[in-house]
Amino acid sequence: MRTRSGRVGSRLTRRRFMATVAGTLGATTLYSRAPAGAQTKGTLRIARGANARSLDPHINARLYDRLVLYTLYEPLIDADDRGNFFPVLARSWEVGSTGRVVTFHLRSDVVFHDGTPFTADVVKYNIERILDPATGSEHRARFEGIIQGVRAANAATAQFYLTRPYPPLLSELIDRPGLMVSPAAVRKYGKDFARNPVGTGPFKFVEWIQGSRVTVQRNQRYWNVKAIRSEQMIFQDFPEPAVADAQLRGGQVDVVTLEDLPAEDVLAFQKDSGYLVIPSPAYSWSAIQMKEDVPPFDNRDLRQAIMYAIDREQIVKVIYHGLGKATGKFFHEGWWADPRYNGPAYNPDLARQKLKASGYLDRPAPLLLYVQSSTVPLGEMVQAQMQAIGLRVNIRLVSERDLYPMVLRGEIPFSIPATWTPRPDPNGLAYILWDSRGYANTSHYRNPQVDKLLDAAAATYDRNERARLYRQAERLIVDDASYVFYYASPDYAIMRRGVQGFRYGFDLIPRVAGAWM
Amino acid sequence: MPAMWRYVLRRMLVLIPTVALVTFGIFFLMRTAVGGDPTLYLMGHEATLQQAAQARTRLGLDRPIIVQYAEWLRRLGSLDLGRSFEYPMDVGPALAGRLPATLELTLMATVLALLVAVPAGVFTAVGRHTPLGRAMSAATMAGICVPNFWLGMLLIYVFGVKLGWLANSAYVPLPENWRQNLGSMALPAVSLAAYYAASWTRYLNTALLVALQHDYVRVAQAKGLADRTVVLKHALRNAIIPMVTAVGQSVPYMLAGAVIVEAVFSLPGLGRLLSDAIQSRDYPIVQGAVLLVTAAVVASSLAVDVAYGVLDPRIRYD
Repeated sequence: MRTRSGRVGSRLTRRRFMATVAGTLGATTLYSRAPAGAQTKGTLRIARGANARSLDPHINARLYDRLVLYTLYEPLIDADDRGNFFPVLARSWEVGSTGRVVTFHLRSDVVFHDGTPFTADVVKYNIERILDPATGSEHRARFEGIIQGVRAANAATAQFYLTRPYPPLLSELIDRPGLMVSPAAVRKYGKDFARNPVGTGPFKFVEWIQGSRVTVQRNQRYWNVKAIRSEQMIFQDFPEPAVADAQLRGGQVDVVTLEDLPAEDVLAFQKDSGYLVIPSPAYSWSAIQMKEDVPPFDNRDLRQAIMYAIDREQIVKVIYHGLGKATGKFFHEGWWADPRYNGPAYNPDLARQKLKASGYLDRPAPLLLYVQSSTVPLGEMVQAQMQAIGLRVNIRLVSERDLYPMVLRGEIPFSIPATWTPRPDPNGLAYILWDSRGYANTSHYRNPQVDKLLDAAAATYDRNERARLYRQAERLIVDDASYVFYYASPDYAIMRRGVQGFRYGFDLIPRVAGAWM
Repeated sequence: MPAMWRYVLRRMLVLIPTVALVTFGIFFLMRTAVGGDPTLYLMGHEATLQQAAQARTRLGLDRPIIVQYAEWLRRLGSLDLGRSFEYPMDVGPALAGRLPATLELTLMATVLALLVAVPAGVFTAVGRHTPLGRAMSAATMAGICVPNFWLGMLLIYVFGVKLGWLANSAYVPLPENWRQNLGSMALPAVSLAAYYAASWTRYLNTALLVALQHDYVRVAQAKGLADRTVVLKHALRNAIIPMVTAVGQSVPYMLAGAVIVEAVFSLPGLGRLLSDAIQSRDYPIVQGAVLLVTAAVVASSLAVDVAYGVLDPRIRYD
């Protein structure tokens, strides 16, 4: 007993130690890679997708804005590629004994690009800005009902008061709502702040040619300026991934980061010694989604029949050229992922049994599957796989931008693909998608046992216990089959050999500030 | 007032009901037939139905469409096109920021296409029985058949990837650095111009062949004028009039082509702004851009009519 508890104790200590080391390494990668006094290099040209909309991290910032945001702004803490937190604007942080007060001790040597000093009052201002309905931040739901208020105990100490113990808060703070904007600049520019961004980050905003590029320049007053080697970064918009790839081959850009790079291109660059292909540490997953309160999808046997009818290996081989993994589950990385579980596998016999049990076979009407128009071959393959067990399916196409709004409004009960990017805390997605109160629970999934597990997991700071609870919840959610998971894949960044210091955040957003060529 | 100016003024007045009709149509079509909720596109995966409802109220989308249209017209009266839903800027500056790239692209493509089409049209008509004339005829067919997005990708592959001539092909506004600007616009302009160069060549070729059969040409030849003078001074001058119509009428199609070319070359033009705005239901941008394009099309057809008079003094503006 003593030995055992001793081992547990030492393991925890070692874990903490490892976390600290990993955190420091992570911080080193981004913030202090270069030796002191290293010369700055010229310009780094980065190709990104074309949905950039806003450089205000709290309002309307899209996937490809986020890449730029991390050069202009900083969070209190960030996570390395293993999901371990490390300090950025906060020197350290601690959670009070009740679990309802989180205290951040801030750096005192930080100023915004406009000269505003970074203090605890700024932190308070930022959180209140998101919580204020007048701001119109789409992130309000992530804090509302959780953060009661923020107190500036002194200039260098910010205390978050929570309505309940809430360990996922830390990971929410590494995302957009945790990036600190200059209150003076927000007041100065008003609604135009999104075009005149002012943060504390290693780069200052230079210009944004709408639809073409964003340019940022090294911030000479940055608190860790020696760690920044590039003098300038240009983020170039590319609506067509194939064109971005061609420009990389032609040497017009140095790095390509687009989420929907064609698998053939990724494979070709992987074989080419002139380029580096870096996969993100975390995986996005894709699933077929069903709305549980709409017949016939309220029939669990029918949903499970579909779950076993899907040949995931075939999908990965044919649709994704073998890139990514065939999987029936959704937790793929981090301390909470269950390495011994891969979800249900292809089993046509069991699928037929389930279909028979569902009683659906007697009905003549085919199911109507809504397929995103850019993924027609995938939709057709899934259709064929379901037809192979005797389930007739018709397809209707929906544009990429229409798919999620239609799912959210409950207009389409059976659709593919539902694709989500993991958050740095398992609660991030699990709660919004599968808790009966989750704002993105578009399947109208209700499982009181899952609610209970998710509540318990989000209320304890004990990681082992949380991992156990999330793994249990994962199996229940997978088995209920409102989502039929089939695929998971990292994002890929492709760069010319010679680019250094590039890293992915655990949220799949590249942190390019420390990169140089 | 000279007849021509009266004519121009009258045509300008016609512009008003035309624009009103088009914007009214777009206003209703976007909100009814196209459908979709702009606020949901705006918020992406973070959207909740409750927040979307709040945003709809904030943007005034919960009011009847006719009220929204009246409000839009009222603002238009004071030259206010409203504010984009998606981009953090007013519609006016957003359009103004995108206009130069599109104007430059279409202008360069037009000039380029004309530089090719006029000599090629003359040559394929006069030298239609020579092997070179036949080869050029075949080339024009290819030019018409090749889609501009494909040509754009091909040009990027050849000049960018294989030859490496495009090291600085990122778009730079003309006033900032004209060399780099022309460098970044050359391939897009060629992609867009190819079809028109080919199509106008065939147009001029046909018009010239018809003109060459007229009596005045035979008279000129009988007078002993040099072939060159007969073709260039007599036949071409008459053949060019239908060509002007073709060029003028190409403006709307060229703007449509610019949408695709701008996407392929990632140029920050009006076409791409409009196509993005339609996809994300950014109504104020769509309305502003359609207003601008409508005005451009009406203006170009007016310019064509005025050009007739200059080219052919027999045409009167009554």
